[in-house]
Amino acid sequence: MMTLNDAKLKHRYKIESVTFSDPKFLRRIAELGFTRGQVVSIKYRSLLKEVGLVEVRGYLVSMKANLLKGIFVREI
Amino acid sequence: MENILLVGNPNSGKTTLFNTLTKSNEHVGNWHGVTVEDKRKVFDNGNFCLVDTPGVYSLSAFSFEEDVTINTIENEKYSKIIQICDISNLKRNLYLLLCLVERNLDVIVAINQIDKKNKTKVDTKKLSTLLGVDVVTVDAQKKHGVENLLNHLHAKTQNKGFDLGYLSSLNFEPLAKYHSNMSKHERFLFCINAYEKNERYFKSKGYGEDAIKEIFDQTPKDSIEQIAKARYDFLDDVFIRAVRQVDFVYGQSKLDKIFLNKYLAFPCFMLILLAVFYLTFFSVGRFLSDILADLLNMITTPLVTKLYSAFGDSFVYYLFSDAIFGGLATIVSFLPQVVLLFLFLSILEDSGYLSRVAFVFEDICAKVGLSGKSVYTLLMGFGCSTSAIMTSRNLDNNNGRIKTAMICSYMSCTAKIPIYTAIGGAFFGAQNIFVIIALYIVGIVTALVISKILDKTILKSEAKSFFLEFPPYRTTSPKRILKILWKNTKSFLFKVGSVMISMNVIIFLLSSFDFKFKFVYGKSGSILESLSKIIAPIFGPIGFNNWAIVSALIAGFVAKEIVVSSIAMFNGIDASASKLISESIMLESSVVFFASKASVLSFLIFCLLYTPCLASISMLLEEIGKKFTLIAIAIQLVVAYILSFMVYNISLAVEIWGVSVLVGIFALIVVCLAVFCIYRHFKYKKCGFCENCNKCKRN
Repeated sequence: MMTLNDAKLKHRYKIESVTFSDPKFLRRIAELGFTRGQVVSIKYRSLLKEVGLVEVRGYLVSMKANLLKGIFVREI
Repeated sequence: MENILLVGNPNSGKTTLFNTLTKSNEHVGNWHGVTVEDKRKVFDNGNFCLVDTPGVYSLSAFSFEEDVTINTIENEKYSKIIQICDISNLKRNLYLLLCLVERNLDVIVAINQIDKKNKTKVDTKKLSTLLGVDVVTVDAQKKHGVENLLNHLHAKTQNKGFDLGYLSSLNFEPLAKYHSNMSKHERFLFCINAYEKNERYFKSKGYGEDAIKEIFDQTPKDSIEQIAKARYDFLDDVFIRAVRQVDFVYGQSKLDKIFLNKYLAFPCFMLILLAVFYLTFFSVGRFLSDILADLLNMITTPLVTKLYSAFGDSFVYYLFSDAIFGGLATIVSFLPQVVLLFLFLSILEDSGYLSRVAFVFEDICAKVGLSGKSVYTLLMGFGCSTSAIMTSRNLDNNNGRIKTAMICSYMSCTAKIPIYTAIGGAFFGAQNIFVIIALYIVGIVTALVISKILDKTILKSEAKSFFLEFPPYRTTSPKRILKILWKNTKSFLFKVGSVMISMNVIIFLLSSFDFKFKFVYGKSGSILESLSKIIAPIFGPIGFNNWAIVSALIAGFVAKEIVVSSIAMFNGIDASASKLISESIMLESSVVFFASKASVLSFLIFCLLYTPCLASISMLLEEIGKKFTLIAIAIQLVVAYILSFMVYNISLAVEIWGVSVLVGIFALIVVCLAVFCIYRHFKYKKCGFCENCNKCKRN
């Protein structure tokens, strides 16, 4: 298992768990559709690699590395 | 009259539908967080009042603007909610619907067919049955389906209700002891709010911190994810039965291969900005300005001649020719540039490119304690600081929001353009484009440096939480271009224009009379001159120990637009008699007031950086409070003075000793930067993401 921040570009991953100490972040991530079993992939990364553009549930959302590090995934 | 709430996810078309239903012209954009406050307007012949709200994803607030919507939903009296859903991203939009319906709120779903490329087909009848709410399809922009929506509002049907069995997988049993004396619906609300760990709900019910913690401890550790998954699983099932979806990724485009490319993104952004500025200030903008100036000249010249023959060399003549016509000339001359800049910003906003800009700039913005989303507010600052400060509300980090609001007045707003083009143009001629570009860059760099200092001192960054949904690329329709042009022309002429003319008249009166109320226009001894002469020596070290310039700066505190016309007026220029506030006229007055090019540069820098207009300050007060507004004003005055001092003295040195001084300064900066980099290399630097990565080996 790895975090979404370590994921390779354009590879597909399945979410294993979502972990954040602050419920505010966890709630927002879950509301956006990052739930267990969901397939996600990183489409682009910013210049300094601190932001990733993620495809989830048929739309794109850009997220900071600290959020990506709270999403644990497995490659499929 | 019944209140109707309009809610939905960010960028789903709420304000477009609001404009369609109420025949309004509120600001819309293809971007997350355009609406930052409630807007309300009566529609349908006074039967309903529609309340437009900022976008939300659920009923738990993450940012200040989301808080506004949730407060409205929880506390406002209304008979129905219209939830607008973007068909391209229907499932996530319907997640919000579930949150509303679980709370027993009466909702009509309006599916907005916003994107023609998307071939998703929705069986509205089946969806209505499965979700227990009325479902209609609309095209908010083309006004299709609006009649049907109104019919549903008039029908006054209640939600049919539906089985909330999808939440049955959640174990509410451990919470039973806390809600035994509540009604069935209250019990249900208690449980879902406990699962969502929604402190706001429990605080509103009077629970203390300890009680809330105890309740949350009764729910599973991953309760938030469990409830979200249960809702999405239910929606997956609904979609299988009522929606035919083709393989489509919302917001994905081949253009992103260029605009998000590591190496091309920055040059592309710079090229786009340069093109916008060139078209606004030098080609189309200047052409239109000249036409308007000639037109106004044709109208005012005969009037001025008649006034002179009627009143002679008197107060009335100067009041009209200098103060009123002069103010009018300034407004008309700069109207095209202001309107064009707003137009280009709106086109950029509609295009969906701004989300890409936020993504690209997030890394850099984070280095100075800002968010990528701040770029939008800062870009808006190039149009108008007042409205830009307001857009800072969509930032979800409070300290970041305050920092962004505090620094956005360093962006060169359209009100400063007359100063750059008239005064800069008079001294620098064709090279003025480089001066203007330099001023824009100085503004941006100063803003970033101040943000970094604030980030290290009084406004430290909170937990970094950037996330931003990517909208698809869209074009702006000709109808919308006309609307933007009309709205901004009207706003500039009436809102800004009225302030400019009235301030011009006040400045004229102060410069026309002495303390004994004797008419002294064009002579020395006026009230303004006497007052300005007291504080003028302060500006000696920065190159303009001159009462007329100081008076213009005082006037500029009220509105930057009147700085140029004030300088022209003090020099006794009949703005209507020649080619308005053109460069040739300004040269005449500038020669009188500015001793050298160094003092002109210093003046331009001071105008760029000192306190923005009164309207911006009142907006700052509203958005960030008294304390930070006072700090912002103090910083602006100090920074403006220091930088003007530096620019004046360096420019003087260059004028005396030549360009070698600049080379020396550049070498000094390079050495300082090198020393700083070496220092940083050997100093431990925390990564800021320690919570989850555990990679800080040097820790």
